[in-house]
Amino acid sequence: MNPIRQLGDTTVGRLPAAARWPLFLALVAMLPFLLSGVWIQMLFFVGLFIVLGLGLNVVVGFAGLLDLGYVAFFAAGAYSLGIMTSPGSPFDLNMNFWLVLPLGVLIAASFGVLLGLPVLPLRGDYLAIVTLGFGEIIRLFLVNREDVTAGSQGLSAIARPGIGSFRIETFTHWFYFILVAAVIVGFIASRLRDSRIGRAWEAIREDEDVAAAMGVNKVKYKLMAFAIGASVGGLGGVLYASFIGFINPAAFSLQVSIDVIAVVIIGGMGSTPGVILGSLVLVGFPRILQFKATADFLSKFEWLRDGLNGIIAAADTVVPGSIGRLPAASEWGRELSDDTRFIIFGALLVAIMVLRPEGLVPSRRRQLEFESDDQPVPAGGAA
Amino acid sequence: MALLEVSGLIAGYGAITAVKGIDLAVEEGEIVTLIGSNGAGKSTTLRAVSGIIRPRAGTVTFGGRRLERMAPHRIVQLGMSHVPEGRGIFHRLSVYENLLMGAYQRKDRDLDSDLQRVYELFPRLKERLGQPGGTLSGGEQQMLAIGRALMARPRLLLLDEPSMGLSPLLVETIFATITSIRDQGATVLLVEQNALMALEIADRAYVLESGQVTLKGTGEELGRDDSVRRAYLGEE
Repeated sequence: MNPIRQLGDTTVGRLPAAARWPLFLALVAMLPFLLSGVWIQMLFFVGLFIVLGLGLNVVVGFAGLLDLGYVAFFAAGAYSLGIMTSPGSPFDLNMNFWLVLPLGVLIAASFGVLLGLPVLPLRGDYLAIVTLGFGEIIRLFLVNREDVTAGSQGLSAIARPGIGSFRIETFTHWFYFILVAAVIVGFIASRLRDSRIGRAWEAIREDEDVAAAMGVNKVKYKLMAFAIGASVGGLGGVLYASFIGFINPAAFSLQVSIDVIAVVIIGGMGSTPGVILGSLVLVGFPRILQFKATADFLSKFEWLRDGLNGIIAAADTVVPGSIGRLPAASEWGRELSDDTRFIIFGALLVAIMVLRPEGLVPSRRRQLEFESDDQPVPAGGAA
Repeated sequence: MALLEVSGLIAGYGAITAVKGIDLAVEEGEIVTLIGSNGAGKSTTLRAVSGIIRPRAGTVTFGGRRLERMAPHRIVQLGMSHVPEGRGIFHRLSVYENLLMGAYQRKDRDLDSDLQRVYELFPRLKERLGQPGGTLSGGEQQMLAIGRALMARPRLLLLDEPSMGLSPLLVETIFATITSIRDQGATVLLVEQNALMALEIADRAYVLESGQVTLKGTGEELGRDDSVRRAYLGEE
């Protein structure tokens, strides 16, 4: 434990970070000059999940409210933009992107309050189950209310942002756009965490009753966490819908909620660097596996496949035909990133929970919690 | 009129009714203690008074205001601080941040004099300001819990088992502090299993059994009462 801790402490030890972050961001900003199309597209999705992870982190990491229906807010943002800008929308509004952006965020925030109100008295597992249901309700709404959402046929030609005559179109443009969004969200989230509001969330997370006994208005701060988390989800949804240009309900399944929560947990709950790393591992890596460059690289391992298939063939003689053969080496990446991905995800989650329960890059506070639970630091003489 | 008046209080959790009609009063400037064995309803009484749980029936009047339907954070604003059983330290917040949490509902931001007062009562806390609350020893956590409650500048301080899990020496210290807090102007309602110590510093006391008051009197009287001595002081 860092012995140099002083009054107030929340900013101590983070002074070097004041220099670290700009440096890191400057390096990231140079990436489009070094990488080509698919890589930048991959980084857009990493950035998108960083934004979503940072938003969910406010709810789960800061306030300790386990929300398994985060996709609902992502969908609210995406469909706000879709419904208000797509020419195929049942309402035919054809609004401007910049006008809908704040609206979408606001609509998602009100969905957050809508979910928050009935679940206020719920804790832990009960909250998780209800939020899970909420996400599913929203998806079913998208499928069934064709008069509002155009149903499963989806919405296309969704508006893209422009500044004057400049259109945000290429992967590189979008990369910078999501980078700016992530920086803004990350900045706001970290300021919130270290504020009075952040302390109220932390108090609620640790013990609701004691927090209330301190004078923390539980209703207000829980709703605030839901609303802020939801508005970030909505922002992510707006950006996603605009980037991809076409949305339908299939894109807003439970899987999105799981992906975001996995990003938060694997990275380290409450930690911004953790969310970044989590998104790289869970969102970036599976996409890299699908690249043609990866397939080309893996095709060099055809000999390995032959060898392994030889061994399998030998084993297969016991009950001939019972064991399949490995696919071409160049296909391995795609195979791994498809359905197999969930097995790897699951294994990774279990492994991390066992080996590093505080996440890959734990937040300072969470790290302390785990340290103090496992091995109380002797505090010198008392009791 | 007493600072705190509880009458006909009934409270509990789910199917369990832990408090079955309790009347009690705390006068300004007193130390009043509730003693009784495990499950007598002492903590539940405190929790119902401070609004953490909602009473099923009965009235709670504090400084002339009715509290039964009031949210706990509003009750704190009226000048009541509750130090919960088990201390309720926020483990991940620093000692300093924990103290700030105690003053959460205060409109004024002038906390220096209050912090100084807490440091005077508990010099140890001042040495550990930047340390996370969870890394403190049990005694230090109890000091922090009391110090944190004082940050709200309470008129009435509710203390739930401040001696729990502490060494006898430390218990002495904590009880001496409780007395000096009272001497500085606060009123104290103290729940204790350590009846001997509690009766020693209390002006008045109530004995709770199965959710009801079975005896009441001054601390001195109850300390001399044979049935109390047998039941709670471990004498034959």
